[in-house]
Formats: sequence, structure tokens, C-alpha cells
Amino acid sequence: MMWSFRHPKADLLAGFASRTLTADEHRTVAQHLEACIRCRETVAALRAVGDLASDAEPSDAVLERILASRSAGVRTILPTDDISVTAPRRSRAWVAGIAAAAALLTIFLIRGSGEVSAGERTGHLRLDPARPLPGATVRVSYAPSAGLQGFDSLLLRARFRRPRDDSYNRGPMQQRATVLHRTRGGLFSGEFRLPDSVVFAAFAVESSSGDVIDDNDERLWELVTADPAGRLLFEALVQKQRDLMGRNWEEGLKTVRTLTTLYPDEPQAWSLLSIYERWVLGDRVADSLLAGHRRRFAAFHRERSEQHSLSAATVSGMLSYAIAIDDSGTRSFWLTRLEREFPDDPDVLFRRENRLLHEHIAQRKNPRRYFADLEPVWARAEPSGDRILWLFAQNALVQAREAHDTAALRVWIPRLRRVQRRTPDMAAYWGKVLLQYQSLRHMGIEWLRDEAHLLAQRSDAYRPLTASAPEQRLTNRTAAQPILAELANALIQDGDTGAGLDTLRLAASYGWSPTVFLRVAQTWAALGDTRQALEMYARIAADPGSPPGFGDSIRAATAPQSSAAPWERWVREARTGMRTAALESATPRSLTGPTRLLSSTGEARRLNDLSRGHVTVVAFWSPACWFSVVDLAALQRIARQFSGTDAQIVTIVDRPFSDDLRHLLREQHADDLPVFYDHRGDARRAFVNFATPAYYVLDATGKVIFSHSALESIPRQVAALLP
Amino acid sequence: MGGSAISSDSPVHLDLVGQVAAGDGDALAALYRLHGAALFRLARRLTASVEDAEDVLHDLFVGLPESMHKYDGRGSLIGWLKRVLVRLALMRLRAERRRREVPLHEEMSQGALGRATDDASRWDLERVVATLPDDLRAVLVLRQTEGYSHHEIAALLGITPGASRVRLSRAVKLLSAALRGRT
Repeated sequence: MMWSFRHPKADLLAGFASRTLTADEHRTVAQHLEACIRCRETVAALRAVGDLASDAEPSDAVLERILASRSAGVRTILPTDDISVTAPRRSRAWVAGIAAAAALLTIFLIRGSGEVSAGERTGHLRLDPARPLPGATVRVSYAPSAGLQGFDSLLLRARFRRPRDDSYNRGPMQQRATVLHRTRGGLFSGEFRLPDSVVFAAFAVESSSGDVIDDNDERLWELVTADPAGRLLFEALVQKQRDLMGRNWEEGLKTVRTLTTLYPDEPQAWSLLSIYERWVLGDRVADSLLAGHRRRFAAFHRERSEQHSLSAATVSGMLSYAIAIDDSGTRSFWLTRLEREFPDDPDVLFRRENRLLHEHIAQRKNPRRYFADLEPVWARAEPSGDRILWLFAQNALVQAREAHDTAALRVWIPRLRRVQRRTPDMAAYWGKVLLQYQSLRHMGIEWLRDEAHLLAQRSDAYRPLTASAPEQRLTNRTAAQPILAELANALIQDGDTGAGLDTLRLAASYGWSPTVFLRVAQTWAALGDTRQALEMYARIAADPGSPPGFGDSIRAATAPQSSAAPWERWVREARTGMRTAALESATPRSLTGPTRLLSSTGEARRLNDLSRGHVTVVAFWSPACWFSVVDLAALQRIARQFSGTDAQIVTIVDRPFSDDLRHLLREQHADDLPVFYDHRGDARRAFVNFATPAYYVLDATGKVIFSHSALESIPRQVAALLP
Repeated sequence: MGGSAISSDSPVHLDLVGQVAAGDGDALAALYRLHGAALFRLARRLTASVEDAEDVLHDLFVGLPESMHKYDGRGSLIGWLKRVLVRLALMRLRAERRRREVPLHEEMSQGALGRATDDASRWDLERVVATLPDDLRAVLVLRQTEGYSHHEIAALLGITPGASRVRLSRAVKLLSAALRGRT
């Protein structure tokens, strides 16, 4: 046969790929392809074009946006003129000879997989197997990010989750999974064995010192365990959902959707879905989906209400689903069943505690009876080790504090410490409560000391996967400050002035905290050391978050004892110190992706444009999140404080504008704040933030300098960035 | 997303059309759940951008209740929706003409695609298709993934069938050049 090496026309190759050629044309092209690698590749590419985005799904927020736009009266005119309704048809002429040609065509292309190339901001981590059995050995290969390319070995850090682990990621949950060694070609590899009890894990890679981390842009990498058939385990998905809480609610929703797809008969999965729909998509969308949930629940109820020997998980799941869809009739049916059939279930015991609280505290105001009746309930609950135990103990402790019942505090403090994951804020709070009672001071001091010791040890188990070691050192010092200040005061009050003062100095050196400075200043003043007190007061006066006139009032009070000159110098030096301290916690990064927002007048704006040339505080809030709502007034005060400078506040809300929203802003005295609606979820994605309240401070170039700022830190962070 | 068990001419489907036209939000949500994913995928291919695709999908559904009466029920609803969506997507692309200050032809001659695809293991077809000029990509997508004829493409794009062939040919040549660039 004579071969012509003129390549077929592009239209013929396209026709071959889409199987729309006549049989003759098809044969001719197939013959050419046998000998021509280039055209084979072109056809393979054209075939792959047909598969492009074949598994793409719109984000969950689109439907919400559509319904919100409709409710807001938005209308679009569609280009429907001259659109015929005939469907496109594919020619069937390709059939002849296609099998042979298909066999000929090897797919040369690796389609876009969303992999991130090495050398960029994030690297690419591959875990094999991707769906391991619990206890499996997992091989790891890592193409490093730009920041991690120069090392010989790296650490893979992990957060391993077991079936009973709690929501969110507080406490000592992190550990080293393995060391990754550089291989030829610049890749890093290693392996580790997944502990048998672990069902889900999240990972980040870092340098051996922990100074440089790659957390996949805060998304981390994840491993969800599966059964031998490859089906993701129910408990693994539940743990993934708990791990995502507070860090990515949209992914959480997708996870529970997967749960309902893989386990359609599990009421717990559907109950979670209906809850997430409300949290993530909002009431409007959740209400529109309620009818479907109610039909499904009714079918479950018909099928299962007469069944005996259901598992605790099923009965509990039915109860949760009934509560989620607000079905009060069936709710009491499943609650009765749960209590009757599983009296020692921790959830049942916690409900009993709630009932005792209602009966003895709310109705009869008899805390002694509450604590007495609670003892046998706790005795049955504690051995379960269930995650609900800390709520149980917390409820009891709050009642003990309210009743000033030192005996109950003495009993319940150790219990809370046994079942609660250790967090410094708990120690600072309860330590302070205990110090108020002479008979419990030793318990308070012991707890504060333990916590200060733990923070000084800088245990890596507490360091989140998204934090570098230096960032965590800063966080630990900040957390240690109020603990050390409490401890110092206790020591001084107990007569150990020397140790107390040393502890105070240490607290003051741990970072910029006007609250701690005030504590220290008051102590120096009480001890009669005016100079040291004034130096400390000068720091407070230098802080832009301090009340206006604070410095003047201190000066007025101490004028007879000191001259103005050193005071002004101290304030000046304190301002420099404050700026340095603020910039120590800077973690500069650029925003990625679009940042389109809707203004209150419906105008589309880009955050990049809004922030350019200004130091900008970006505040994420939601009318559904009370904590974020009550912060609005403080944000308004900060906005006024910096008016006349190049600083501004931009608040981003997760709901469309409505009269209710405007009313709420007025109620909070925050009507002057610029509010933008994150109608596409752009801002959430760009900041990788799915929580409220959340605050960021951007410099005048639009770069994020401070992330997840505390409200009280915002004024000094802004001041540090202003010229 | 899904629900493809309901066929386009089923009574349920026709009910849905009527309810959407009457402004029923639940019906609009149901229609979205039925066809939203498929329409999104088409918009995604045409615009080569998730954000733009979501915008197009949004605009389509926001405008549907007022335009539903234009659908006379003679053909498949999804086919009609896709054609409206193609028009919307093209209008959006024409209006924006964003991100492509440098024509792809020049980028190609400078080896930009070659650089983007210099490692066979990382060759990313999606990225290459995204860098095609909008008018070429539209023809490529409509022809290769949706199976439209050149006459149908011509009617949708307001060009001649011959121009549609030429655009397809140019798109294929650019893809082919990108392939060469990786080897």
C-alpha cells in the first residue's frame, strides 16, 4: 500500500475523534493514524476534550445565590430568540472499523488532575494507597513547594483521628507520621503504618525544624480509610467532617453528601446532611430541601419504628434526624426508645444531666440536690470515655461556680481536667475562678502551673498542622501571658513577692498584651514602685486599642511624683516596641483567585480594587453567628478611630442584603460600616476562610499581613502598617 | 445533583416547567438540581473558568421564570436550556474579553504552551484548552463535546458554517501545536 504523508485536515481529525465521519473517511484517517504519531496524539487530545470537566460540579452556593437573587428582585433577560429546539445529532457513520481504530489509539495524555506542580506555593503530596484499610502501610511521595526544595529530608506531620474523636481540632492531636527523604529527581518519599484505630488523617509537610511548612494552602492533605471493597468507612467520613469543622464548612457539606450517597440507609448521615444544609446553604435553601428530608424520614420511621433490636447508632440517628427536621411527634418516640433500650448510652446520660439541671436548678433552685442526683449518672457515664463527657463536666462546673459551692468545685475540677482536652484558655479561666476561694487556691495554682509548664515545653502535639514552629512559639507565649499574670498575682498575694515579680516580668516579656501590662502595672503600683508602674502604663497608653485619654489620666494621677519628660519618652519607645511586636506575628501572603463582592446597592466590586492603597481590615461575619454580630459595634469604633487615615474596614457578610440585615446593623450601631455580600463565595475561597467571625489585616498593596486576628489586636496591627 | 430519572417529556418535567414559569422557587430549585450540573459542565467548558461558569449558570436560572414561556415543549428541555446557556456564555465572553491581551497565536509562536506543557507527566489539556481564544474554544467544545453540526454552531454563534469549520480547524491546529510543544 502507498502511504501519503499529507496529514488529514483538522476537520477530519476532529470528525474522527467525535466519530462523525463517513465510513470511507473514517477508514482513510484510521490508515493514516497507524503510521502518524502526531495525528494520533491530536485525535487523543480531541477525544480528551470531550471528557473535559466531565465530573465538574457547581459549588453549593450557586443555588443559594440564584434563590437569593430572585428574592431580591434580580432578573436577567435571556437570549432566547431564534433558538430552535432540535437536539444536536451525532452521525452514526463512524461505526465501521471503529473498534480497530480505538485499539490503535493509546491515550498519551494525562489529563489535568488538579495536581499542583512542585516549585509553587504548595507542593504535591501523593499517598498510596489513597483509600487504605486501617492499619495499612502508606507510601508517601512529595514534590516540594518552593520553600521546601532545599532540604535533604522533610517531616510528614499528621492529625490521626479515631472513631470517638470530637469535632474541631483542639488539644494535643498532632504527631509526626514519618520522615521523607530526598530521592533522585528532587522528590521526597517515605512510608508509615496507619495505626489500626485510626480512620481518618490530615497531613502537612515541613522542614525538620518546623520553620517552613507546606499545608497545601491550609487545605492540608487527607486520607480517608476504606473497607476491603474500597468503600470509604462511615466512621472515617464522620471523622473527616469533624476535622473540617471550623476550617472548611463547604467541604464538610460535601463530605456528609458523600456519606449519604455511600450509606443511604443511615439516618445519622441524613441528619448530618440536613444540619449542614442549614449551616452552609442558609435557611432559605435548607427550607426548600426540608420536604425531601421529611419524606425520607417518614419512610425510615415506617420501616423501623416496629423493628426490634435496632442498634444504638440507628436509634440515636433516627432521634437526631427527627430533631434536625423538627418532627416533635417522632422525636419523643425515638427519644423514649433510646432511653429505654440504651440507658447507659452517653447521649442518654447527658440528656439525664440536662433534665436534672432543668428540674433542680431552673425550677427548684436546689443545686445540692442537682449535684447529689448527678453522682450516679456520672458514675455510669465516665467509663464510656465518650466525647460528650466534657460538656457534662462543664455543665456541672458552671453550676458549682454559680452556687459558690466549693465542695462541688473540688469534685468537678479534676473530672473536667480528666475528660477535657487540654487548652490554655480553660486553665486561665478556671484557674482564676479557683483562686477566689482560699480553700481551692492550691488547685488553681496547680492547674495554672501545669498549663504554664506545658506551654513552656512547647509540645508539638498541640501545634496545628497549619502552624510553623515559630508561629506556634508566638501563640504559646501569647497563651501563657494571662496564665503567668494570674500565677504571679497569686504568688504575691500568698507572700512570695520575689517569685511573683519574676513571674510578672516573664509575663510582660511574652508579647504585647495591654491586659497583662495593666495587671503588671497595678502590681508594681501596689508594691510602691511608681517608676516601673509608669513604664508599664506607658505601654498601655501607646496602644491604639486603649481608651482615649488613658495616658492623660495616668499622667494626671502620677504628676506629683514624676516629670513629663521620661513619660513621653516611654510612650514613644513603647510605640516602637508595639510596632515590632505586632509585626512579629505577621504572616504575609497574597490572595489567590477572584474576589468579587456585591455592594449594598447591587454593584459588583473586587476586594483587590477596594483594598488597593489602604490598610484594610477585612471582617467576615454572618447574621447567623451571634459572636460575629456583637463584634460589629467594636469594628465600627475601630473604623471611627482610624477615620482620616489610610485605613479602612470592609465587612463581608454571607447573606444577601435585606431589611433584616440593615435592621441588625442599626441595632449594633454599625450602620456606617461598609458591608459587602460574598455572593459567589469568592472571598471565602480567596482567604481560605469558612468561619465567622474572622478578621484579616491587609497592607496597602492588598497583601494579607495578619490572618485570623483577635479583635483587640486589630488597632495595633493597623497602626503597625500605617506609615 | 442528578435526578436524571425524570425524562424531559415526563408529566413531572412539564409540571416543573409550568411551575418555574409561574415563579415557584421550589420548582426552580428542583429544575436546578435536575439539570444544573450538566449545564455547569457545558458553561465550564465554554468559559474555561469555574467562576464564570457559575455566573453564567446563575444568570440562566435567575432569568428562567420570565423566559420559560419561550420553551414550547417540542424538543428536549435540556437541549433548549443548553442553547440558551451557550448564548449567555458567549455574550459574557465577548463582553469581558478578559485575560487575553496577547493573542494565543503569538503565545504559541513564543512557545508559551510548550513551556506550560514541557513535562509530559504534567501536561494539562484543560489548561491548554483554557488558553484557546474564546471563539475557537466555543466551536471546539460545541462540536467535540456537545456534538453540534457546523450549521447548528453557525446559527448559535451568528457565523457561517464555513467559518465554523475554519475555527475548528484552527483550534485543532493549536491543540496539535501544544502537543508538539511538550515533546
